[in-house]
Amino acid sequence: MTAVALPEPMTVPTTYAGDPDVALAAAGDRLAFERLYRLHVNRVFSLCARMVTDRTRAEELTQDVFVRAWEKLHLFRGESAFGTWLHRMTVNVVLNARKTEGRNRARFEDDEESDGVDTLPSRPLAPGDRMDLEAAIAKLPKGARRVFTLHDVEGYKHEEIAEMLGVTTGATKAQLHRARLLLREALNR
Amino acid sequence: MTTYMPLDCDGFAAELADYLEGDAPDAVRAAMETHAAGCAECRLLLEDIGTIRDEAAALPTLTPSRDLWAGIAERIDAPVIPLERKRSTIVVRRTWMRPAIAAAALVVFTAGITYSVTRTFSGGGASSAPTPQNQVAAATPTPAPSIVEPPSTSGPTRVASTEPAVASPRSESSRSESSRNGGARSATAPRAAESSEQQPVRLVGSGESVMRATEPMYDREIEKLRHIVKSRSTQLDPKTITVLEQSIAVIDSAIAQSRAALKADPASGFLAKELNQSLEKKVELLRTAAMLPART
Repeated sequence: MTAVALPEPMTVPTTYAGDPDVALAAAGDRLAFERLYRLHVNRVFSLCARMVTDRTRAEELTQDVFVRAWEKLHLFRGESAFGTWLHRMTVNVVLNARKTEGRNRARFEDDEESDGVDTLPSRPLAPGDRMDLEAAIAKLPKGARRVFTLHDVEGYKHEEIAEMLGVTTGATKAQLHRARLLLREALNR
Repeated sequence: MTTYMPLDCDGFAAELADYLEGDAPDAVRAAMETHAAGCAECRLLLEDIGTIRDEAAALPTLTPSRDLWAGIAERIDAPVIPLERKRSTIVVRRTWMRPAIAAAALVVFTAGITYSVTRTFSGGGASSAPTPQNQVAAATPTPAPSIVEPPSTSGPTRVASTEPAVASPRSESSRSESSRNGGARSATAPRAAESSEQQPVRLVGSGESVMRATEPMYDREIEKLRHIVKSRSTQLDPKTITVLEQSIAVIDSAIAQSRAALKADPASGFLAKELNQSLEKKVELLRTAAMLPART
């Protein structure tokens, strides 16, 4: 009779006190990771969609985020909530993707002007019409939009945003103020 | 005790960003509040920005148009096959990596100098001196932001089918939502004060007004960096300082021209962007100068 080697029981690190699925996923459990995906996908997608304004691209980036999360999950030590860790990873994935895309087309066009705005269907507004806040955010210039999204929508602090974007807090504050004024104008207030 | 002159509307607009960020000194805050209490227009501006902030914080989460899991599962299941490296490629890469490594080392070196210089500077007692954290951030290059997009004839657009799913949870560490949501009104709800005489919605318009509000922030940044460069003038080569001053003069000329043109055509998004880029260039140049190593 042949001895059959049983699979080793899955070892679950004890550092993920909050969410057993995180621990299971970190140990290689695909089903647990899928549950994490279901739980967090909308928030990740929302951030991607507001940062890039193109929903198809946002869906691709959302997939990139979860693939990267799967690859890096062993590095997550539970020092912050999984959602916070994943969210920060989302910002990095979006910004890195934008850098790459920006490099690819930098010689041919102005990234600032072409980003997002021309990818959305347009509808002329009559005098007195109001624009939806979501649509107005999508119309913001890239720099102002990402700072506004990270600060006013997602709740990051200026210091965090400055670190993520590689700029000074003075620059993020200027961008945020500009974004708010442009939005006020766009919303006909 | 610091005294502060009463503010007019321009002064109010110039201080607004700091006021909203909680960076304004008490005297300025008091002056802002006094002005807002007596000026309906500025009070409305303050309320509108507060409302935008509240509504942004309460935006719903969005849902992808399809289930993305299948694509993710496919990718995480795919085996990783290491590519065989060609020896010649490695040799070439190593050769051109040398200057890159040297450049990276130089950046770290100059950032260290800047950090120590700015620490010395901030130790001088200036209340608005940059923090070490800011200085570290300042040592990295700033992508040139632009203020306003160029005018578009297509008009404002709407985000394609953004169907809200559930209320936005926001980040775990973020501020209280209840206070924000309480006073929020719908972005699409009509406002009582509005009438048919309003101008068409135009995100790219009034470049001048936006610049007027954001320029003071650049000015403060420039002032801080100028102070650092000035304090280092004895450490830098006089020729370098001459070149720096000449470059700044050129940029200042561009700034002045953009300002004048924007005054003549206040709605021009292009001019506002030009002005913003010139200001950003000046900041970048001064930052670079502040990071220059001392002459030997």
